[in-house]
Amino acid sequence: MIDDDPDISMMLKMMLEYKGYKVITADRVDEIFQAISNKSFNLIIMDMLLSGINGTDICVQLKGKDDTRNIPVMMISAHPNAKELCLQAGANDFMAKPFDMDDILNTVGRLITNPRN
Amino acid sequence: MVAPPTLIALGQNDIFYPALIESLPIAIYTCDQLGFITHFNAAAVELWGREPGKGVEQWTGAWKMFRINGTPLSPDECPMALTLKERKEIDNDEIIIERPDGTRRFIKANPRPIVDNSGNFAGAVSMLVDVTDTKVVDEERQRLSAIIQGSEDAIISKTLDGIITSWNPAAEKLFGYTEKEMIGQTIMKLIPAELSDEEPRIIGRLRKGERVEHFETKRLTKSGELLDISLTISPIRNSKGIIIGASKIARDITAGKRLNEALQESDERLRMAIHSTNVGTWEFQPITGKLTWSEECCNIFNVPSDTAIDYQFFSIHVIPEDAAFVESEIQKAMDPAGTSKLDMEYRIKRSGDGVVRWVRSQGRTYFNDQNQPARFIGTILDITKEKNEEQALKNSLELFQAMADNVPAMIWMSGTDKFNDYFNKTWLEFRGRSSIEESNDGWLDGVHPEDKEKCIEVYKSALENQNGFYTEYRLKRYDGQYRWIADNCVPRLSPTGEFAGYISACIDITEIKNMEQRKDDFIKMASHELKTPITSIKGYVQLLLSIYEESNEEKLRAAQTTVRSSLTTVSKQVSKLTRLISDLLDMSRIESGKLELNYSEFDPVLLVEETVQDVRHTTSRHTLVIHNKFEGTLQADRDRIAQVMLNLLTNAIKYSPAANSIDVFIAGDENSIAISVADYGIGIAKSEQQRIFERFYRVEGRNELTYPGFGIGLFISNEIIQRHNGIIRVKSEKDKGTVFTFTLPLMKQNNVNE
Repeated sequence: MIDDDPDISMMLKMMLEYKGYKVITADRVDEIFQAISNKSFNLIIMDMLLSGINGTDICVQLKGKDDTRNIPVMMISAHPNAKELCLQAGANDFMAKPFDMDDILNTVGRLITNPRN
Repeated sequence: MVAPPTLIALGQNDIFYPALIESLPIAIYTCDQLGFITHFNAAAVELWGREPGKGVEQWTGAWKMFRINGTPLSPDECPMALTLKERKEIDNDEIIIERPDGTRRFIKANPRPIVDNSGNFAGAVSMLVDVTDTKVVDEERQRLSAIIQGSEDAIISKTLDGIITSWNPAAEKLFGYTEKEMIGQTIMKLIPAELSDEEPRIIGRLRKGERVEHFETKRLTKSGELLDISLTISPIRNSKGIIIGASKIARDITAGKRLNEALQESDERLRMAIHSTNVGTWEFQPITGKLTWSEECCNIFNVPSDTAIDYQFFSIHVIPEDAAFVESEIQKAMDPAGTSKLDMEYRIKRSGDGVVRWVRSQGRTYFNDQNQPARFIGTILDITKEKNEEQALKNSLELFQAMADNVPAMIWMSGTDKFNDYFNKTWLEFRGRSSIEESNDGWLDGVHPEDKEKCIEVYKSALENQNGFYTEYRLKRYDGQYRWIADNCVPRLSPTGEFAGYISACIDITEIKNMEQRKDDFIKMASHELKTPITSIKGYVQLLLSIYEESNEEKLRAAQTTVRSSLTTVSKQVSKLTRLISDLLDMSRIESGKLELNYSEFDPVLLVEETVQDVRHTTSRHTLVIHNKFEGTLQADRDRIAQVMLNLLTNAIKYSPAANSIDVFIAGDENSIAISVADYGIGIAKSEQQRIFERFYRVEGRNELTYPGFGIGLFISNEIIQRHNGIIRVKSEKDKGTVFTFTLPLMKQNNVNE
């Protein structure tokens, strides 16, 4: 779970953990790749605008690397034009802020069971 | 010398002579040696129109006397007085006397000295003959004769038998015969043979007392030339009214004569035209210095038409500013080496009312055989009205030109073709090109390639319907930069209402466009910023709800930590949302000038500590350190200063994601306090540093855009500090960090902004 707003990443972490998922949060670019290289992940949830870096750029990098290409990426943003930009960058799904927790849980469930969809 | 007596003395006692004298129809009076009137008859009283006092009045009984030339004649100079003084006879001395009723009589005075029986000088007797009537008839005859002699028409008189009795010089000129040759001759001499029956018919009409007027016929001259003439013939009656002859006026109406008359007529028409257009005419004779003005001329100068006029009189009416010019123009016109023509416009100060008028004088000089200017003739016209109109037109043209060149708008103008043919100074300066380069389609070269087609299309379709249009396009400025131009174009109409092309005012709206763009960005950013805390709040509330729904006591206890931290976060995010909304409100307050300050006195160091403490909770990475060198109190709006501090601190955290410390410095003296917030983050480029306090301004750049924020925090902070008469400054270096410092006076300042 990558978001520069710790409240949101914490909130999603608590919610997902409450639902039985294991969640690791990161809010800085160097941390992201460090975390990814150490562990295998079933899903990456990422905010589009991170302080100092664009989430779409990270998405493009992830989708360009063999070892991360197949990890589904769900992007979230409050930015009005974000959906299009994120999907263009290769994100598997997009959720606009403020989102509904049920939608998040449904999408997370779907992406983890069927990563290609 | 004593004149010999010519009359037998009248004896005082003699009654015969007095009776005789009294009854005479001729005025007679007598005076004694000293000139006192001794006797007069009834005819004398009638002649004088009064009765003089005997033995009282001297020399004459006349009321007033004049010499024949009209000059007054005093009584002691009258003929009677001369006779008495010089004792001589005077015959037929003509004088004029005036009666008390004002009538005048011509008289001939015939005074004679009187010698009494003893042979002594005893006085004089005068006989006054009234010659007024004969005098008048005589004058009349002389006048008529003069008219006839001087007439340009041939005037001939003849008897009813056709014998010529008078022949004037014009007749001589017309027919070639002298008076001597014609008097006593028959009129038939002038009549062509084929018209010989004409004379009896005319005579027949004259006998009946008829007048023959403008009878056109032909007559022969001495040289045998046939003339077209017009005759007016009137009967001449003798004193008894019997027709004894005819007077004949003959006028040459041959072509030349007609032409001459036509010329005279046109001359007359010209004179009338001149009169009706108020053109004054003047004539100056430089040799004699004589200057003549027409009535219209006098009117222009507002002087009575009988005013004595000379060059000096004219000169003093020319206003001093134009005097030298007028003088030199006149001298030039009278210079034999020059064109001899005058045409000048100048101002005169009218006589009487002193009103200044514009006049135009035109003239021409005629030189005599010694090449001296003999006559200088011309016209003068009051052109004040035209001048004023011309000036008004010129002024309005100049005004338009000045306006067109000085308005901040770029103006172009076109004719009915599609080519632009006028560009004002502002346009040319913007483009850095000349009018020639821009004319026709030259300006189109400067239009951004992406906008060119649209430009041409808009123009063409508007021109088809002669409609105005509004369009925006990018135009290259003198410095090569493309600027957004708003082109607002309206049709031009000729004075008669026909389409005459276009005129357009263009303004550089790049700044407005940028502001619009920033406003758009701001709205996007604002919605993003508002959505973020809402996302958080909504998420936590939903988390809490799902925990609560599935809860039993055991589960709830296990989730206690989660519930507490969730509620804390919700509370924090609601505060954040509130702050964002107040920022928006503050901005609109600043824009409408309604940002109020509530002053109080407080310890600024305490305030800084409080705000830093608040911010510490929001960052796990940064260490915030306060370096204080100040002690004292500050008069300011505490909440607003706290707002500024929070803004600077949150910015410092936000823009230094890779750094781990932030320093706050407090310093000051007895008058002011300076507070600085220093971060070691991304920094702000020099070019951006002046603009970061502008509304909606956010540092541009791909990565910079990823930082959340309204872009109004610094705008509000700057406004708050300025309202406190303080100042906020930025010192920054790219990739090194930024220091914001605001300085405030410690005491409240009263100023216009309060």
